[in-house]
Amino acid sequence: MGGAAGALLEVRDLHVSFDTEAGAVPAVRGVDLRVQRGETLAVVGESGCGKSVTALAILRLLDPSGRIERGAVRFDGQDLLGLSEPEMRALRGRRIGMVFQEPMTSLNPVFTVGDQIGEVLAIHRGLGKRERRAEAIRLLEKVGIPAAAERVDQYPHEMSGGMKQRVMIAIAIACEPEVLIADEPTTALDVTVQAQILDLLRALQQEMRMAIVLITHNLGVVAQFAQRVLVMYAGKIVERSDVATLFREPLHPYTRALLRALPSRSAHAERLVSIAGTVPSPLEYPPGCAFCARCPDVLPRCADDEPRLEGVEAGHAVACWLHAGTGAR
Amino acid sequence: MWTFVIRSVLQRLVLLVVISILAHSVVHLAPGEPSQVDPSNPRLKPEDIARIREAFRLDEPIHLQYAYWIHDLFTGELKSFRDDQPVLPKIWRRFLNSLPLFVCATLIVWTLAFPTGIAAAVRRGRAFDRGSTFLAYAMISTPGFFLAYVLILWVVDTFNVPVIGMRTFGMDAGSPVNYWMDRLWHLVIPSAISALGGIAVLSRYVRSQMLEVVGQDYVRTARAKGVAEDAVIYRHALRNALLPFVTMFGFLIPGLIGGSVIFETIFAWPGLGRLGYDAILGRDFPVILTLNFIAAVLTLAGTLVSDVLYAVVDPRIRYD
Repeated sequence: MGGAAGALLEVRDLHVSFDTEAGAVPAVRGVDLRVQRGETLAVVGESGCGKSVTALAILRLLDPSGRIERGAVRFDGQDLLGLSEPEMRALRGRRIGMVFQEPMTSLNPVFTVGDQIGEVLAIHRGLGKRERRAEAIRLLEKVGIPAAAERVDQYPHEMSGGMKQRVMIAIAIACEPEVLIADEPTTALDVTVQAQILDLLRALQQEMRMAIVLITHNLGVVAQFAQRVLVMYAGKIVERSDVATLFREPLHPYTRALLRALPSRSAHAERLVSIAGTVPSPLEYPPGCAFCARCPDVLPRCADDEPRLEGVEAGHAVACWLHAGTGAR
Repeated sequence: MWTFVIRSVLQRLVLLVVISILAHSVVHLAPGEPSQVDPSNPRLKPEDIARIREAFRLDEPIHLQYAYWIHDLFTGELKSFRDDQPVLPKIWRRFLNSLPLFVCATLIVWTLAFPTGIAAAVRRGRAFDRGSTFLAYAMISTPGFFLAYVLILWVVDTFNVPVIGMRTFGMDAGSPVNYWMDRLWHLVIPSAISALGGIAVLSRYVRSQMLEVVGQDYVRTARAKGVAEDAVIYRHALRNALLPFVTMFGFLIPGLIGGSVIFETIFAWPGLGRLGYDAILGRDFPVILTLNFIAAVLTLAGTLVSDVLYAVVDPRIRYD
């Protein structure tokens, strides 16, 4: 928990809700996160837990129906929620890059990839037409696209999914951002391509010394890639830890269940364990722990009393009554 | 691409022959013929009717009549049943009258419908969107002729703008400047009023198309790149939203010949729409069939233009 003052990106007590016909639906309910320069933070959870919404809220890219109710987002000492829209635009794509889940639909179909990379270069680096093209080719080479000089004039539909995701990464890193937010960057890709994209991200991170916020539901990806992990459930962080500790000693019953659901190389023929029950609807979150209805170790107080995220040892915190009061902090 | 164009042209030629045969049959099989236009006329004796039928070759078998029509059409000898004037020059004169009205109305429709639809989509659910939606549906649900008459009353009372005919009688005697200003002046109200319905319909299309595109992932990508909101809307979203309208652009071409019977009648505009309408009432087969034939040619040409334009504007579409 130390070194918080030097955090590059810091989110505090973020609450986001969406306006629907059924009323305001809470999607993120008090998320805290800190990212240090150059590190990789993974945010893990199943679909709908609020991890992507958190990422979009950081860049203020939520749909019009989404609203940041309260909280603070600080980046390099600036309060992002207080910035004007032009100030925010100057950060997007330049100091904070973002890669999305769906490479198939995330690129504009009517522009060449060169134009789409060049647009960032024109906006943030003020490059002229010829420089943009040369730089786009250099970036395509950097993200491992062969025959970049020809590819630069191609349209997205002429490329495979993995190739498009490389182009998305080229766009995101074109201005050497300090933070790259990668929202499920490999989910839509084949397994072999997934590994290549992760390798690419890791290589780029080492070269550029950028921090990565990796949003994923894949614990295998987390194990390979991240230093620290946040586990989210129903819009809240339920466990925060470094990667080694999380895999060795998961504390929250939800984290444990996630790990049990992970296929392991050693255990053949063993059936994977699924988590019983379903994620509660955001409209009917219980007053207590949102996981209580599915929890194998539920206590009488869980349904009504909400556990807070408390540190149990250095760098490891969990929001669960099973572990309340066991730690130092 | 060129093989595609050639193949399409050949296919359309075959289709054109089929259309012309069908149209010819329909017109001739429909009840009524030139000799029956005025049956109560006491001076029309049976021998006159026989003479009319003879003169117009209506006693020949239908396939021969078709051959005569096609032959006369392509040799330019085709003449109207009513006034014995050559059909093609007759249509051409009326076409020149309809053209400015059509061009002006279309320009008004496209230049107003797009900004309206885009603005409504961008401000979805807000006052402008609701207001323009209300107006558009009011306009769509009111019959055009009714709206036109109401507006004419108001316009004449308020602005003193001409609403009848194409020019002021006797204006040809003045200077060319005065003459053309007068023509232009007469064009204002008919084109504006006949454009209203088009604006209402097209702006709704534009709005729904924009709304669909604005929700796409690549629009979010553009924002994440730091692209300014105007460029997000007009460069990234609009470029994609425009693609379906390319088809509509091709279908504008047959509109050249359609004219509008209703508006030409209301504004006493001697255009093609009224020519066709009068030809149908008078059973003037050569004029009806030739108008129909030209409309078919233009429609087929329009679809071809649409197909080709599609490949030009959408990189995902290739013909080869």
